[in-house]
Amino acid sequence: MGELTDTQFMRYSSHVLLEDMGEAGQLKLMSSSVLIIGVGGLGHAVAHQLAAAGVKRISLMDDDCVELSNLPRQLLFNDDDIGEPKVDIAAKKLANAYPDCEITALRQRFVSDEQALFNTVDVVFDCTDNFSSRLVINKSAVCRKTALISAAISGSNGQLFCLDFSQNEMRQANHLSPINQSVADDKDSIELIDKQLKATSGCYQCLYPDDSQVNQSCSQVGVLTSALLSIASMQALLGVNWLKGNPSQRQEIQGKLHLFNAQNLQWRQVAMSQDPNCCICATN
Amino acid sequence: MITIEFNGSAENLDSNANLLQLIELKNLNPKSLALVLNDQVVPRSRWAQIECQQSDKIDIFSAVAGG
Repeated sequence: MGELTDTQFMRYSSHVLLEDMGEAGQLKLMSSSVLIIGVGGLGHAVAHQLAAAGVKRISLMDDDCVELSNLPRQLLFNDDDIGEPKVDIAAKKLANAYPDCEITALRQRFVSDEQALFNTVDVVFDCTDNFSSRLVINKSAVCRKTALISAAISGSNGQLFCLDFSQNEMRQANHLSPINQSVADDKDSIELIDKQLKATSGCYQCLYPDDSQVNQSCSQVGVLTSALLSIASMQALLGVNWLKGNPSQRQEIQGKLHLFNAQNLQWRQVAMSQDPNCCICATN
Repeated sequence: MITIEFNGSAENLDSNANLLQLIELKNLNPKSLALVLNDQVVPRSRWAQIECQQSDKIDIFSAVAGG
């Protein structure tokens, strides 16, 4: 890994000063590649923050055009952009503001055929606004063994998590190993098994099976811009921490579901769990 | 009879009630919820297999998908 130029050192000095970031962490960000699916309320803000943070390559995927009702919460867009594809406008504005960042605009809805894209990036951000897309993205991330950072908000309720599917084979092997069961009398072994089981965090399908009834979208129940941007900032922060983190730090980040109540500003963190019968992550 | 904490409030419950029965007792739709037992998400397929225990802390929340 190289070193920052003088200009880069000045631009990213607030990052470099951080003990757990430093020049090495900034250089990791500046060699990273991400895919952001959905460039609406969450996605535009995540893209903006990652571009500003110095992420090298950002691919933006969305098939929507800017609408008047988007403007109060999608701050990259203005009246002149109405009717234009979101990805084109976002890519153009971010590329102008952050010339070191390579932005690719993909004007399309995500379909499972596109999952090969997942292998070209370090992490995928699910910023979509509907349940069916989230299920397809989750399945693709599991199949492609990619890290997934997913966020959602409707009304006052925000949720986000990071899951690392690159370790799935090891986790499934540990989870199913008969050797683990046979040595369960040993205290150390019990603790080890417990740790391994906790590491089996499952996937989006384990949390919300595909027969779930999810009818809370921003367009149906509304959302305050500040609440939305709080979740987007946390999603971007999870991403930065993931991209700059070492394997041990990444293990600490993944597998936790963060729940936000925008009415009383309370955050809660709970551990995610794999459904042993999950048709997505227990078999792939 | 056991006492559990459901969404922050103490509740008395039959000692052999499982998580699915608890949700049905509350007239809630299991397909619209996720459930957390003592700070760990419990996948829906396991709700019928897990009996509530004295002092369990059980929270439910709705799925959201907006962005």
